[in-house]
Amino acid sequence: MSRDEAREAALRRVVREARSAQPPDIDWSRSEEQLLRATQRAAPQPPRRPTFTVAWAGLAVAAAAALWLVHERSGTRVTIAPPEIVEASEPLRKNADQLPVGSRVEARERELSVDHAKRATWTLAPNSSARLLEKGDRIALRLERGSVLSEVVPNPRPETFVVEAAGTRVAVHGTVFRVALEGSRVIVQVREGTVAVGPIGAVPAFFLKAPAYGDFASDGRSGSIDGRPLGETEQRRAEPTKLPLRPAHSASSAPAASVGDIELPLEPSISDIEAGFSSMVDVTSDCFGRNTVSAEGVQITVRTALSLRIEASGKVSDVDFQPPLAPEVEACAIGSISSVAFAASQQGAKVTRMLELKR
Amino acid sequence: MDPLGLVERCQRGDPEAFRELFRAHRQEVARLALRMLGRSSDLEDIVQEVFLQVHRSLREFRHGARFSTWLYRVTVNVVLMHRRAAKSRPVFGEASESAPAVDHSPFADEQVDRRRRVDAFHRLLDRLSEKKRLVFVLHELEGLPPGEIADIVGSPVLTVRTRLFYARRELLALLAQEPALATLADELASNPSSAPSGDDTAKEPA
Repeated sequence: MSRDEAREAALRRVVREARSAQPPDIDWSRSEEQLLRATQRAAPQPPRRPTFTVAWAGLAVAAAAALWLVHERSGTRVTIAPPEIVEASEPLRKNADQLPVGSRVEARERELSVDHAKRATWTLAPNSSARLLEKGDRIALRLERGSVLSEVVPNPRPETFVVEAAGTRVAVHGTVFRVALEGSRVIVQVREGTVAVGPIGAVPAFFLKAPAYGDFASDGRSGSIDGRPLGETEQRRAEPTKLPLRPAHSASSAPAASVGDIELPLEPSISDIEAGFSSMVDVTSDCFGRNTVSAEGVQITVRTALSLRIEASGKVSDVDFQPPLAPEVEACAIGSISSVAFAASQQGAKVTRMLELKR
Repeated sequence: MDPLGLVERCQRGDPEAFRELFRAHRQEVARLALRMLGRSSDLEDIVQEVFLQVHRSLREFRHGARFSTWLYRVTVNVVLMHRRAAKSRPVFGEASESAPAVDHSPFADEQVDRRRRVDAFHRLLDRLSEKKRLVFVLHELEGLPPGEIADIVGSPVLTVRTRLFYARRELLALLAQEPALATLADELASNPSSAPSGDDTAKEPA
């Protein structure tokens, strides 16, 4: 037998041996009880409606959805378009440019992905549906059923991607995370980055840093993160009577204790950080524009990572650009950035964002 | 037992039917998960997750489809998700399952050798890409025809055959890197009569 034949014979034999391996003994009765308990906990799902019914229902809710969106989101740049029902037939990828705001997207037997070019991709699991609420500066969707996995490209602007599920709002900057509706619970799994979770219309109350698993009540006001029940303080932040967060960019140097009797959050909120960063991007862009010389018709683009240390008091320290900017640009930007203050917190935060500067 | 009859009863919300469905198929789900993972840790959790998914999605199951194919698809998806999640979790020196148990039977040595070879084989499988590994397991270990695998993985039959071909070729190339399998190949080269007869399932795909 040649060497090649011997290797083939060895592979055949080990395949046969692997095929004969049996699973270990499992306590099936215990497993069965656990499974049945879990299925009883899960809320019954409504039976599927035939496609034509869904289509008519979609049209019927169009007016309601439009009214709701106008009512809920007045002041935002939302344009209401007739909803489109997208089903998971071929192709299984959709370009978000082809979807008007208000579209209902439904995945049936297979996953369905929606691409927002260079910004985000969200993928509905089989038997899931979501409605596209916004796709302008911010992408927002409402998960109606099942689960959605979102991959969001980091962006210096605040909260560029939002998923609403039941009464819960999950907002991110740049990350990979999954939101699922499971009965009356909202499950949030974060694979990369950080997300902020809270009730719709309130300050985000809970922060999940990857890897993390959050299990929240449908109203987003209570739950657990990685099996740890959320404390009273965290849940109080989720109440509509919000914490009197100090406004960002106030340049105040008040110490943490001055916030009064209310216990401080562990870190500044993502909204606060993003709002602060937004103004830093503007300042840095302005400094770059004023201090960079370019020939007529030549565009200069620079990419750099801005890292900050935010102290517990909310003051900014350790401003760093990597790679460094020209000395005159840095001097200009750091002077302004250092004057920005964030809300006080227990331990402050370290934050890094990529900036793209153009002249 | 008529699986479609059970499915219909489950779709009508009969909990007893779901219990029967679980009992009828739990072993094959556990076996497929074991073959895909190559280890038995988390097996019970995976089987439960598969049946939770089945419970959630059973209303979507269309009559006319094969229930076993649909169940394979659900199981494959759950195991792949589990593998991906496990990759991102830190490993804290999990005890090797390949540690041979003390066995005083006359065939103890042979059993230990066989266990070592199977473990080595799964290590090789782990080095294949996910797509190739999946079709290889479904075809060679589960014995499914390429057409059914194509339905499960959502790819054309030709793609399945191509993946099978390359999976097998890569495994043959990697074989020498696992001492337990290299030794077996050497033994077979020097003593062909020790080769197993018949059942040459690892054939070139047509």
